[in-house]
Amino acid sequence: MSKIIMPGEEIEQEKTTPNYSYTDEKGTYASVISLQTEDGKIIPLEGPYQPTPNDYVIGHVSDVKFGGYEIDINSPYKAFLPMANAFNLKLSLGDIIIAKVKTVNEVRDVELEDPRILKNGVLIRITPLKVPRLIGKRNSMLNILTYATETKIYVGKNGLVFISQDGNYTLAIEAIKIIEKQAHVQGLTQKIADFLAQKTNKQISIEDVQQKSQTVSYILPEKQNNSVNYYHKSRFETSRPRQKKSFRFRR
Amino acid sequence: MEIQREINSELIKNLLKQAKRADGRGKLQYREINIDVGVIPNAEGSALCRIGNTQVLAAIKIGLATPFPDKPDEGILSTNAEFTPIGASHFEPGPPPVEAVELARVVDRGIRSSNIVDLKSLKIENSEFVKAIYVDLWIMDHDGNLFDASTLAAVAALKNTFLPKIEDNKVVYTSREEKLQTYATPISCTFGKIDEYIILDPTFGEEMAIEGMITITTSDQYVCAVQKSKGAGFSKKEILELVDISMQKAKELRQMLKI
Amino acid sequence: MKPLDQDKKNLLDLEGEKMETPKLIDENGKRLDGRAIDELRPIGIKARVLNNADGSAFIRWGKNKILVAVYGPRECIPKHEASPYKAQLRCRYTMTPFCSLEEHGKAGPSRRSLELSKIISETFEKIVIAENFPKTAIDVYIDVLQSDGGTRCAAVTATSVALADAGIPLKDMVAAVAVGKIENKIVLDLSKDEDNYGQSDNPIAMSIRDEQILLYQMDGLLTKEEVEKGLELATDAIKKIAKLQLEALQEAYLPTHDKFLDMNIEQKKI
Repeated sequence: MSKIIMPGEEIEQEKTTPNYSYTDEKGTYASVISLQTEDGKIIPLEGPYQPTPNDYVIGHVSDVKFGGYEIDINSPYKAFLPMANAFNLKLSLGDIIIAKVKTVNEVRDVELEDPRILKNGVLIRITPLKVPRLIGKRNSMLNILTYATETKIYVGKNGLVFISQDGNYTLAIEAIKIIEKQAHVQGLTQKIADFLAQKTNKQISIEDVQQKSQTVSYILPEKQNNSVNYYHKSRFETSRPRQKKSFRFRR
Repeated sequence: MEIQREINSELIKNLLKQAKRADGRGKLQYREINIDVGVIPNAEGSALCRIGNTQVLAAIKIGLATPFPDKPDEGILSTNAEFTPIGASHFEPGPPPVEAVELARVVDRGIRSSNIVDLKSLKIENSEFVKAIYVDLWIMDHDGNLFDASTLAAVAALKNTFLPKIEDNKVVYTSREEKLQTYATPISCTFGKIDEYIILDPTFGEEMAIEGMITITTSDQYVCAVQKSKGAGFSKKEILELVDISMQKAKELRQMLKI
Repeated sequence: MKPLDQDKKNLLDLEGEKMETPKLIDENGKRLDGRAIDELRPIGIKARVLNNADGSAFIRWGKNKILVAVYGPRECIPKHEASPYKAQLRCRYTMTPFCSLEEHGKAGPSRRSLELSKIISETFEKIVIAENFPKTAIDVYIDVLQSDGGTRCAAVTATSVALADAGIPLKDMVAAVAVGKIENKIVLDLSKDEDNYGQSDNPIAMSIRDEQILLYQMDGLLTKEEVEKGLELATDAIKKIAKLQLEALQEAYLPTHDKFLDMNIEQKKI
């Protein structure tokens, strides 16, 4: 029987996750509200996003500076996308992007790279701790969602989820809200598959969808290139024709 | 943490320009509305109104005040709205911002013009004081359309107000006598507009995205308050259509909510 | 030195006014609302009641109705208040103008509200693991929607639940209760009348596992034995209140939980 662990409750040393427990001379305790599953694992249930390198996060451009873009990633700390990492895109204030966390330094400044713009959809937020459940093992949960609703769904590790507007996005939002509420229920993937099958009158079998899906690694939009940027043009391509050197100048 | 308003508004603007809403509602469809009355027994009247995720508390306190010199036979009706920092991440502690003042004044116009309360009945015999009705709107959760939620909460609270006894020019707060008589049920409908697309009951994200907004308060066959805000203009035809729609929707809400 | 006459009625006579004070404990040992001297008022707590706030809790304690919302950790504005080593915990206690069974209140925080904001911030200063989030702010907003004595204790109890709900790392949970003296007896959980007409008011907040006293105030006259008796009564009561906090958080994470402010939640006698 799974039970809720309160902050301050004593837990075993081995079952802890570093940011969600603390140790003093008297023992080890949970610091964040957590769930203890039947097999003894302790899963934190709520908390702000802790930026980690190699995470893909969704954010919006909150300031355009000379050296790059300031990106708000819905966490206590702002992120920065240097111009050098964004040479293929021209971003404006308010654009929504998904980008990779390159580094997080000691004062919690986050540097981003590999940005891609997200357009034409809706953005919702779930708690960052439930993101792995929304993606599922080998993308299984996300695959049945996208298959059933015919939308594209991009999930940022910071809890922001982008759903494209070309399919049944309201059903996707509904399903994601259910997943967030029941994240730790057994057999949730099948439950969601049944729920979606009922709502869309489609046959949804988890194994079929897994086979048909094109990728089991993290799903990203395609790389884009929308900027007219002189850095990209080949150094040898100029508008001046090359001058022929004449023998006269050779000595 | 709510999503910063700048993010969502661009995407929602896009959707609205294609005549779609982020939560899949129809363009003239309200979110789920719930009203609980009598939630603050210490106040003479109270109601909590929820429209979708928006939650607004209205509380009525009765006091004594000197009447206005030009209306010596009428009681006082005073409405105040508080954007308590509990309600949204951008609400700050301190004096009410201009949006809160606007909200209070619009709700006040709606209830005052409709004559929901007979201010002359608040006169006290043989006294230089009159009864004063203080309406407080406490915004607990802001997800758009504070006008409609506040008006509904204020009206529901007024309809469930019990007047205390007045003795020797003092209010005996521990007593509750007769119910305050109400004579109308004003209901407001708030519309947002982007290009030619008009939606009813905008959420917070939609409120940031729309370019024009209009709130129309109706009471039976009368229009009793209108407030147009934001920059975009409405045509005469649009306004007349929206008056019709408001009357229709208000009638439906009165029946559904039984207020 | 002869102690002052501790019968409140006589003290009032000294001021030259004859005031009626109600008999706070009757012949059967029952208080004004029928409670025994070591009985708590009914309490109900609901967590996760607001959509915008990162964490929230609503508490009904007797007739008190208090709503607490937590925003954070978030960017600390104004920037000069930010600390490079830890999050700044800022609690703001406010009473609404309609919370009391008296006249409509004035706008703006009273001196009492300012003092309580400071006291409650300090209660949680060492409880919140602020080093995990340098340069940020954790804002706690406490709105007393209806008051009937003991609001600061109910506020502290609800704040602990709201902070846990927001996923902010805490070293321990905290609960609080006010003990006091009425008619020369130490009683638990003063209501408003008992606070006004009683002889001493002694709010105490304590961390649950560690039993550290984090908030302690008193006024009136108490002997050392009475102070000790008060602490004993408070410790027992606080342990019981902690169970209600756990139940509130357990319910909040069930799939059946509805995220809205229900101001008439069930209250339990513990």
